[in-house]
Amino acid sequence: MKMNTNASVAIEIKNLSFSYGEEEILTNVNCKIDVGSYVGIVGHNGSGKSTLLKIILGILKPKKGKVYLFGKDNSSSIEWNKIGYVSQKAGIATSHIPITVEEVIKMEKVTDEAVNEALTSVDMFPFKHKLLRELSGGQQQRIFIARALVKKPQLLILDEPTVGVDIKTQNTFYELLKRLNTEQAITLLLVSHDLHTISHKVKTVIQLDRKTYPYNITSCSVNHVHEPYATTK
Amino acid sequence: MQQLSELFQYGFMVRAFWAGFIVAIIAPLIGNFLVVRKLSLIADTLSHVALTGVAIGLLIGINPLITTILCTVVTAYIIEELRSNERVSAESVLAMILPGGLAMALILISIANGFNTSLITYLFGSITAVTQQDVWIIFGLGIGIITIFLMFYREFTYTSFDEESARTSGIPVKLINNIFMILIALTVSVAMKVVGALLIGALMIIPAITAMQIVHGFKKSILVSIGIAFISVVSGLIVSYYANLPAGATIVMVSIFLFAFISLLRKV
Repeated sequence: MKMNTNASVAIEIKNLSFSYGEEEILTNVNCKIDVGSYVGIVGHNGSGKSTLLKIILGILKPKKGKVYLFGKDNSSSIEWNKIGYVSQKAGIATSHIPITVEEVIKMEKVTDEAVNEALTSVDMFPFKHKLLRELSGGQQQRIFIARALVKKPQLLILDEPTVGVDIKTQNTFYELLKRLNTEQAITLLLVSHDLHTISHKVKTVIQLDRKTYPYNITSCSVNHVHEPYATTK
Repeated sequence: MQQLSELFQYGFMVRAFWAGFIVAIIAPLIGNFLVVRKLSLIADTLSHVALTGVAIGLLIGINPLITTILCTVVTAYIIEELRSNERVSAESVLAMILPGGLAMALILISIANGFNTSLITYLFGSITAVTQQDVWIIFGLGIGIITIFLMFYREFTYTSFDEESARTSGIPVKLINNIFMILIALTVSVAMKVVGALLIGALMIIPAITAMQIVHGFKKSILVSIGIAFISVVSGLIVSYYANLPAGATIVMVSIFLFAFISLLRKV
């Protein structure tokens, strides 16, 4: 198994390229995301955000290049206990199904104590026995974060977590993420199409297509047009 | 009461009840997950393919249940392969295979030109056609389905509700989906003789959606739907015997009645 000795790096992407058939989606992406970072990946629809996320999670295989998670090549094996993931599709199947919050968390193999702890960490413990479909969109997102947190991951990846959530709830939601990052030292990677909001919330922005977004991004900026390493701060 | 006990003096009724009990457990067990996955039509699709299996069995002279299981399992695997590569939508895959199964069955019937009556018992179910060998096969497969279900309950649940997150939990999603598809295929094959190929989908889905209206929790939904299927099968068999009605159709109509009754109660 190939190892990268730098243990302070949560995600390292090296010379990554990916294409769907003839169409090249990602070209020569290089990036390091340090442990403890709070990073947002932004880009317009079709810029390759979700593709990049799927490659990081090992769901898609890159045409070229490597991804290392906590120093280990993700094409060999992934330590899933270190990674929490909140999918964009997490709530799709639950709108008409009477599943309780507790049952959602227990999809992970965990104890009752761990369920209580995870729900408390997102301020949702009083809702443990409620049906998921009775909760608002923002509350449901907190439950899915609790499910991702229940195995105590070091890296939390969220795919478009605030789609369909109102501004007030979004602010509370980002407060929670900030708390998880600062108090529990969880590395956060957020994927969103909403550059404007993200750029005010996260510490570092990775922009997948500069041409489309004329914003001035400070700190880390990675695009897929042959840019050298960019390390997050 | 005496009339009811008379019912069990007939060997075919005893066999029908035994087969019915197993079907009442496994059909909604799988059905709840089909509702979650929005794959309710898959049971109907496989039941049409099951007819091809029946026709092959009758044509070559072996127990049609065996050829049906082979046909539905292979087709279930093909459906999952096509669905998971995301180039063709699940709905389109089912829309293609459903008439395909029926077309193949019709061609085989035409070639054989002589077992139309036997095929009708599989189309609509026939309690008198359930043999002791069928009961043993249904019983064995039923126990197998329940055991696998209990072993992989968490994996089936996670994969059905959120496939991507399940993958990041370390669950081998492709393997779990393939196992689940095989369970659907086996359930359709097992239930066909009692309820009928064209009606089995109803017994998988209707008790599940009925239970989902009244319960608080997914596990409870599975348990209550088994209860509803059990009531439907028992009362359906009894009514069909005394009123001289087709068993499968009566069972399905009872389950629809229960759905309508519970829906009305919730509105009152």
